[in-house]
Amino acid sequence: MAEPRLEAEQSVDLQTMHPPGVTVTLQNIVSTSNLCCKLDLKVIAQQARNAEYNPKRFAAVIMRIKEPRTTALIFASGKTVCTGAKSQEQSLLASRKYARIIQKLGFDVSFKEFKVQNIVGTCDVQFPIRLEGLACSHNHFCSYEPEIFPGLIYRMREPKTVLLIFVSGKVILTGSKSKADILRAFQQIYPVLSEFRKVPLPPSTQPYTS
Amino acid sequence: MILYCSHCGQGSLAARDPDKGYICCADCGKVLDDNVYSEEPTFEKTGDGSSRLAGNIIRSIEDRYAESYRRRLNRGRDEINEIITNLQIGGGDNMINRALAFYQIAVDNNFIKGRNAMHIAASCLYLACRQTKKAYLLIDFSDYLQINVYVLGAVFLQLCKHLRLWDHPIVQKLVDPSLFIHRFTESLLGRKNNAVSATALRIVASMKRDWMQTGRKPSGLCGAALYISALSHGLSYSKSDIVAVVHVCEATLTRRLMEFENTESGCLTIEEFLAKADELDEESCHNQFPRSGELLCKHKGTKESHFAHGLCEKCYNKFIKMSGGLQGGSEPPAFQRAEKQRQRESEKEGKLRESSQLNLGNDSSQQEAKFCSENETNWTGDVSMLSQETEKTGRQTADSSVFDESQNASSAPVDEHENFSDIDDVEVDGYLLHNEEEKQYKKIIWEEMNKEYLEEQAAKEAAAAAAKKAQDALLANLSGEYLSSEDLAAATAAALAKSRKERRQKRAEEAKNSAPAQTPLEATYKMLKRKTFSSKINYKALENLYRINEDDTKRQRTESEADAGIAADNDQKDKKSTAFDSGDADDVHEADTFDDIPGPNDDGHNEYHGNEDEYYGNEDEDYGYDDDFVE
Repeated sequence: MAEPRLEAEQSVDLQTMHPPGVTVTLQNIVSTSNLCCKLDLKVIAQQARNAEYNPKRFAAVIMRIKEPRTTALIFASGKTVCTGAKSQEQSLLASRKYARIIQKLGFDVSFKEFKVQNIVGTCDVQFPIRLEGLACSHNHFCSYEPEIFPGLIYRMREPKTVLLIFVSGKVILTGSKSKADILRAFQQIYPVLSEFRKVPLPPSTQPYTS
Repeated sequence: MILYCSHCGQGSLAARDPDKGYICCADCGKVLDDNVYSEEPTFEKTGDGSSRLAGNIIRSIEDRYAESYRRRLNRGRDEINEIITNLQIGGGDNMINRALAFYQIAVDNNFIKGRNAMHIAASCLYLACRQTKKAYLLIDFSDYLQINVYVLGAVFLQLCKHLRLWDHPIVQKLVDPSLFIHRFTESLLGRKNNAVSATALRIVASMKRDWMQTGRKPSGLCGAALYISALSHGLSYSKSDIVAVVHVCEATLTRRLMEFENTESGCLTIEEFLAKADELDEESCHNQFPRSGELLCKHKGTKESHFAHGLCEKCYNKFIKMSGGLQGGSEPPAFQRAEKQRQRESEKEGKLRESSQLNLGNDSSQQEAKFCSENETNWTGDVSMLSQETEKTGRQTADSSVFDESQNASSAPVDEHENFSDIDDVEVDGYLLHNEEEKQYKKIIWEEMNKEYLEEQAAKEAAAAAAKKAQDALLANLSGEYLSSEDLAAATAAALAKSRKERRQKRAEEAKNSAPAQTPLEATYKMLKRKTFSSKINYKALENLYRINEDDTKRQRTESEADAGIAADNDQKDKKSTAFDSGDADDVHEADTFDDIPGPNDDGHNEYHGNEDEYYGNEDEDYGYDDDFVE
């Protein structure tokens, strides 16, 4: 663990510090909102360029916009789900764009109850991790089945997040509803991971080199 | 049989009288139980000449599950047996019984429904194998069943969750690849060969130390180890032979071999390798000293002291043996790939940085800022880097505060017509079709693609319209009151067709809003809406009931009439009809009818209606005695 640094958002003590450059990148935000009016999906599907509607398969219109690059599911009740944004602000903006599109199609919408439901983030701690050790010591939280999935599934209770930890040091965090939660989860898992990091052999016990 | 006798004050032998059928204490003669249990139902005559069942039906535990349960278990047993014989799993009856125990719990927890029974049988058997430490992999079972191993894996994980084995050592204990070497050797060579197995075990141990094993399926590693070991003993087996035994594909096998080649041990000759392996084995035992820390392993709370990494000494040793420890060895291949990628990216940036330094100072810092936001490389000791980091986090905090504000704005009272003034209209316009021609085309295309759906919808509507027409034609001839009762019956049918939740919500709402019923019709309507008896009501008869009633409103409804009108379901209906009788026709209040019926969850504090919902909540399922009558 290299030089100590205080981050602008959280101040953490020296022992749980992680080196600069190791941060969590948000990959996907799923959010829901309510347009508060009944929609006619056939009309939407037939008058919007970017909409697809296949009632036999799924009862919602699937609409996509390019900026921010997101996909939305729009249901007949007026509720919508927006996925694919990389930050909360982008998700809000995208949801509002979808609402605007529906409004232009002639429905009396009002944009209410926007809520972020899930945030997915990734990060790389840049050292190998012994998953077996983690599974042994934190066995109440971990599920590690190499036959089924190469990563270890760590279910953190506070904040309620699920982390997929891989031997290469890459970690995927998902299940939180806010960015602060994800960062907090990462702060909590970092010392646990470094407990099981690969350490080089001490030089005195080095066997003959091949 | 020893029963507790209250007269003697202790347990004493009980004797059963053969004639009268009662059980009495052998010491003092007090009659303890004088019920007669018989398998056959007997009938007795009542005062008015009709027959009635003598006594009550008591359900014993076994009875409750009837034949289908036992059949299900037997079929499960057969399936498990089949898998055992086909995979030649040892253990005989013991294994079957263990697996069957899991299967039984699965059946009890309603896990079987909706899933393939073979999958579940295989998962139960795999669990039993893990328990008895038999060396079988999930992939063996999936190979036999000819299904995707991940599908079986999913079933297995769900089973563990339902059986609450999540934290149990059976599932938590990690599967050691070394377990499988002996079995694979036997299948490959046709007989046990200790030398080959021993070398293969050493190779696997070396792979563990070199971090090749973490995250991988055990089969691949065992296959590679076996291949090398067989070759080193002079037995030449081709890759396809290994693949047939170990259930991996050749590409995976080749890859493992290459990874092993890349490690340090991979370059040694076999003698050197064996010597080194012995050395390392000895060393690994002596390397660790106890350290202070919190005990987290499964021995938490016991007297075991912390040894290292949150584990007590026993767990620590097991961990080292299982995984190869934390010290030394090569990097895991996945990590090596990640490192290479990081290197490539830093080289790219280095080149770009050089070229950008030819430009003005401003530009270069801008580009650096861009790279910072895109990449996650570890820039140590770079002051400019630090300042950019703080800038980035500063921006992030600014963003999040903007986000909070906008959230507050949207939750603040806004008028009905949102003005999305912040959204680019031009862009939004681009997403809509404006040309009439385009719209027409899209409409045609969509209708063509969804032809079947539209046809189905049209058919449904036509059927509904036809039914309505028929109804209307019928009703045109009849009186007003009958019409209303028909409507009520239709309305109740419609209400019952909706989902339970909706019903509950509606019920709660209406219970709050409704005034007491004015006519028996209304009362029935309200009652039926709340208490859904669904299949147990004969609606036609209900209509008849009210039609007769309309003809003669003064006529008392007798119990027999109510019985004739309403099919099946005896006891509940009795209560209902008595409820009708007790209350006068005109001022029946829902509250009055059910006061004397206590719910099992009777909680005095609950609001009245909430109580009822609980009592009648599981409509069709809980009233055991109903089933009797239907039969």
